Amino acid sequence: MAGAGVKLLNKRIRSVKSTQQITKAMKMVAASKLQRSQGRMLAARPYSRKLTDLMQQLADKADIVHPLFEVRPVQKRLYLVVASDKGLCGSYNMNVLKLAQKAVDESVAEGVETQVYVVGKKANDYFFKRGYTVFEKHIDFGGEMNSERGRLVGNTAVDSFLSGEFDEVRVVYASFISTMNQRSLDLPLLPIAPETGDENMEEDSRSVDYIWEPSQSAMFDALLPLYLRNRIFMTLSEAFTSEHAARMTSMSAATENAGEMIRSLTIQRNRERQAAITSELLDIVGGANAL
Amino acid sequence: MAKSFKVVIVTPDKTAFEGDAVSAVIPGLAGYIGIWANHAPLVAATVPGVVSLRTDDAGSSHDLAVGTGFVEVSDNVVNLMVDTCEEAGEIDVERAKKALERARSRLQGMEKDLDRERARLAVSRAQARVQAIGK
Repeated sequence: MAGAGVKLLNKRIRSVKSTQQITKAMKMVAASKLQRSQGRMLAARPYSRKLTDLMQQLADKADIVHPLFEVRPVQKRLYLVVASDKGLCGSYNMNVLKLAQKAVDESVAEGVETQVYVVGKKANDYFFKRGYTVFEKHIDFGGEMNSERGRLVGNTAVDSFLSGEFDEVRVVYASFISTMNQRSLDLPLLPIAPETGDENMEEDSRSVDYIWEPSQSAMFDALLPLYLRNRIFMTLSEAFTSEHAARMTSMSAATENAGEMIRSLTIQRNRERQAAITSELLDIVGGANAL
Repeated sequence: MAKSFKVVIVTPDKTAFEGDAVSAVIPGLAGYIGIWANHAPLVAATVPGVVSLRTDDAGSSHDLAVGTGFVEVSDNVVNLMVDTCEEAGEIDVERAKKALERARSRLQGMEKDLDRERARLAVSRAQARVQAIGK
């Protein structure tokens, strides 16, 4: 019988092929999203850098006390964790979530009451399932960043800090290094730590004696919210860019693997079909000879 | 020719302008700030308005409508960080005028302080745009 095996193999090849089509499409979508997201992120960097510079200078010079700089004994800590809404992006979510969980566990071990503020459905599911206290969640961003969302997340974080609900806010996200390389980071967000910037940059800028208009403290009030909003905006854009990059890479690998699988299955099928034909021929020849 | 200096205008979306100018007029919080080459180091908050750059001695100028932000001047480099920036040529005249009217009427109907502040900002942004075209 020319068959059962061949039929089964054909079915598998078809199924792998259709999977491959999906992964290929996802790869393409992720690639175009990555390009857009990356372009926007890179375009936003000069603004962000200048703003950070200015903040740094102001913070160095002025001995102004501002509530956003206030270092309090940490009794309650908030972790802002940025992951994706959808899966199929390789180890992207796992890397971020594992780092976040470790950080949160350590924080709890210190005796600090710790809550998580999640962006992304995967992060929400992860922490919810494991019984962590989810302070707030955003599960409908879909990997697209805009300034409205930046403001929303920023305001929530800042309000929770200023109201004294949390004494420290940290952020865990995947920073974008290149398409092939994303690194999970755990960084402090609030209170603002002016020293975290680029160090050689500070050296130059310290020497300049600026005229401030209006006064430094008024400037602070205007600059800080902007700086924070921008920082959160950049963090989220970077995380989302990383997500698209991770998805593109893993879907590209999946497409390749599917191709590999199809190739080996096809060889196996052809071999089996050949074997079936040969044995059938042998039957016929054997039968003819017997006559 | 008068000495020129470098002007960079960045917004969260893009680097909106990068080039040389002989003089610049920038809408500061406490009034317009005029800047020439060798200006003393300055950091100032800016309000929505029109940035006028004179690009050569002949007096040809370049106008941009900007939103709120900051300006930093040092070493003959003017860094302007603003939330929006549009060149006069990019602005749709009709739309800008309509937006101004809309913002004004909204401001009149306002009661609450916070919304009022936002509406006021919207009006000044719209005004800046219309002004930039008019120049």
